[in-house]
Amino acid sequence: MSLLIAEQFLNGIQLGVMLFLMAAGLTLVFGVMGLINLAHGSLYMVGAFAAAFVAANTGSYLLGIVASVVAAAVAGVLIETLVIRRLYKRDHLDQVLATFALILIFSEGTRMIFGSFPLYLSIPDALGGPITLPGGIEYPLFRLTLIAMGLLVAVGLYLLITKTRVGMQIQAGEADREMISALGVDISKLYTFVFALGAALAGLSGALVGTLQSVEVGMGEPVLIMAFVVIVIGGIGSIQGALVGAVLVGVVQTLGAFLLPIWSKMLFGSPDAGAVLSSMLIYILMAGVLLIRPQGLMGQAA
Amino acid sequence: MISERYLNIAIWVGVLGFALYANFSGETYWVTLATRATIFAIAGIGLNFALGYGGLISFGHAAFFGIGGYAVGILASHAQSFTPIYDGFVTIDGTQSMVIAWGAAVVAGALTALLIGALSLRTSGAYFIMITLAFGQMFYYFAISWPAYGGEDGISIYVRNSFPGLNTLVPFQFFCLVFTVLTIVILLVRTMNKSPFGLALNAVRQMPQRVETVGIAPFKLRLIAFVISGMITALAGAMFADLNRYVSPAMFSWHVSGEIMVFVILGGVARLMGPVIGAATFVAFEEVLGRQSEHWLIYLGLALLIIVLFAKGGIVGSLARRGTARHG
Amino acid sequence: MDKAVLSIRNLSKSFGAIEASKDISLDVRAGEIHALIGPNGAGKSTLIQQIAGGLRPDAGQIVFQGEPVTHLTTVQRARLGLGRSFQVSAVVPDYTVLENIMLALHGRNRTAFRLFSNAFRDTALLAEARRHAERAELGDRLSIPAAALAHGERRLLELAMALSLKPKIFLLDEPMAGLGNDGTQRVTTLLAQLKTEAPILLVEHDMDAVFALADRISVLVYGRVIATGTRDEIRANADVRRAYLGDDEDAL
Repeated sequence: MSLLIAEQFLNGIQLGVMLFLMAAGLTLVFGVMGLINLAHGSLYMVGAFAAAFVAANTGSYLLGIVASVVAAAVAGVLIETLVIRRLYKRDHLDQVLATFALILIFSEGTRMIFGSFPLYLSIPDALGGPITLPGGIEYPLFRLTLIAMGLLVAVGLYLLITKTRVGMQIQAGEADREMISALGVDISKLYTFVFALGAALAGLSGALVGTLQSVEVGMGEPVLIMAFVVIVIGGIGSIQGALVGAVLVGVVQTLGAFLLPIWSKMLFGSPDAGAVLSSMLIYILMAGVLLIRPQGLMGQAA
Repeated sequence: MISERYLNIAIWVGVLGFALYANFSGETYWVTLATRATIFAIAGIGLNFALGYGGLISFGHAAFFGIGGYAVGILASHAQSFTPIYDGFVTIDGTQSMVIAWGAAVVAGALTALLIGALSLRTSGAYFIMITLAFGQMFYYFAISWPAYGGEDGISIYVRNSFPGLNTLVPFQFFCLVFTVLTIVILLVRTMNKSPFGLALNAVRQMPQRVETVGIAPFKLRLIAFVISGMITALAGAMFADLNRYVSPAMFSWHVSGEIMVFVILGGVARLMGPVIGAATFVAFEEVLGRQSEHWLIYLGLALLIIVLFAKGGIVGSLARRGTARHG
Repeated sequence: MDKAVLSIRNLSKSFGAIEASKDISLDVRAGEIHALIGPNGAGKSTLIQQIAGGLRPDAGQIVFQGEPVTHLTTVQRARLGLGRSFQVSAVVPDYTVLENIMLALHGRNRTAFRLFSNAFRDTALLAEARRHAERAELGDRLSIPAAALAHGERRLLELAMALSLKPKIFLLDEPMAGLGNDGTQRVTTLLAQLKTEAPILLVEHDMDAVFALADRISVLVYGRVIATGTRDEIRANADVRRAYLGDDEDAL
């Protein structure tokens, strides 16, 4: 039992780091440009489809992953220059509606190209099979790779934001949007870069998670909403908050889905009540955070 | 440009006229379409109360639409199986009466909105959008994972619920019922918008600090507006369940929240009849384009994008000037 | 000595390293205009916000009509009778002058949560709203939206809304900001009348107006009250001259 719990815990971490890839882009785009982007889930989907398509045609999983990042970034640049940049100065209502429209366009567009049937990405042989961890836990190597990649990206983002010129500009943009253009930074290039960066992260996580599950239209939407929960819990605009929130949500979601039905069966003889509760658990967590710290765990007090 | 008042009357007459024409030319399918548009209009009016007047951008109104639908579905399913919903200290039976079931739906919508509103109104702006979206999704998962009421399959209502004095199976009679409800809702919203509450609510959207300074609590105003909004949208959900004789978790889907918002935007935010013309346009769009292409949503997306980017104010906004004088 | 309507006792507030209010104490007594002056950045707005309820002080107390109000919300304080006007006009832009004043009246009468009556049906209330508008010389601008008013008229609407609350004290944050000579003169006349209805805590930059109107003056410099006294006392105060007036005799 405790081995099982440990495995589920690792699954929770794995879900958490993938959520972080999504939430990081969302929160960056919100922090720097003040934009709420519902179409972030579409970029996740674009990444997954690009990976599945390229991997199927070249036989190389690695090329598929590269394709996911490139395709999502290109899609990001495209929608940023065509649509998104017209929205920075608009109110949240316009942003929500326009990006909702983008979801419809992306989803139906993908359906027109690839049809309604799911595609599959198979785990490359080198990463297949389980690995034995200290403590005797058998854990799939691929999932472990996902955790490692997620953490790598987190470190990379940290270095990018704290150590590079672009990172300084991003930080300045988060602090004061007016000031940064006064500093002589080409603001529209910076915005395009930030948006494309977020898109690339979303595309990467779409391809990675799509390998575990399936690649289909609409796959990005549940993830998007979970990423919103992550952001609300972590605090909007905060990358650290996104990381903490993502891991918390990933673990709570995974362990809840595993443990609550078992407990419910022990208590009431049926797993149903536990299953129902576990489906609502992360939202209850979010409600709890709202009650105690409406600005999120890492957010600044209003 | 015409006066908004005349445009409103024209929209009302237009919907009624369309249904009448459809009925007398024997096109019952069109009558059903008009009924569908009318129900969507009510859902949109509900959202418009919070969004248009209160400035509360809720992306979770599917929660209320679904709650209303499930209230009707659950009551009907118990009536169909002759099993009480609750049998303890008191016995609560199911019902196939629209009056009771719709009443229950409105109460359930109010309670749900009170809960969601009390939590999400602690925040504002982008937070509020994300939180309402998340809570809406919570209800979606709840409906899917709750096996007692059909889970993913939903609930079928085998016999159309009844309304005293009407044969609700006749499409035109059901339309008349739904249209009467729409009219009452419009009149109620109009009254509330001109009341002291409406005066304060429209003020809090623009200048909350002023409203506080005159001794009115913005949170309380917004919460009441959100609850009223949830009640109206839940009523629409209840009628939608009766129209389709079926409810499913799809009613809770966030796409429904998005569509309800589209009704409002298409018609015109904070316009009394905006959601009516918006919903009618949406249903017409869906009908005409849906016949042309199974991918009609891509055209809806493009149209929505163009409207948001280039044509603010919606249909009512582009046809009518706003009635400035709120009073006499 | 008249009884204090509002007493501020040892109020302190910091933002990080910046001490915006340092141990501030002052009284506003019945029937007086107590002006608060000080250079930009002295912490006048921060103080007003703490009194009105938008900011919580770190330490100290605000006592209004003998009751501590430090832990009450803005709304609760407004209901007790703190009538505030804003430095940057915060009237409802889409609303007409009459609608703005009616909003204040419904707030004052606690009728703002009536859902099914018409906000403009009560003729007595409408008549009262017109009277308040007329006092602020807006009697002929009733149906003009606030957004379309001239700057000076919007300042007057701020005052009209404050006075229609019939407050027990007025907190007026630079009511003359951006007004020309004529506007300043009109507001000065109005304030002189208003102080007979309720005392006024007046934050103002216009020194002529302050010295014409104020019964007492407090001088705030770097978050600290360096002097409180009558016009003559303040004029004669050496600290005030040094710290605030830069020893410029002509300024007084």
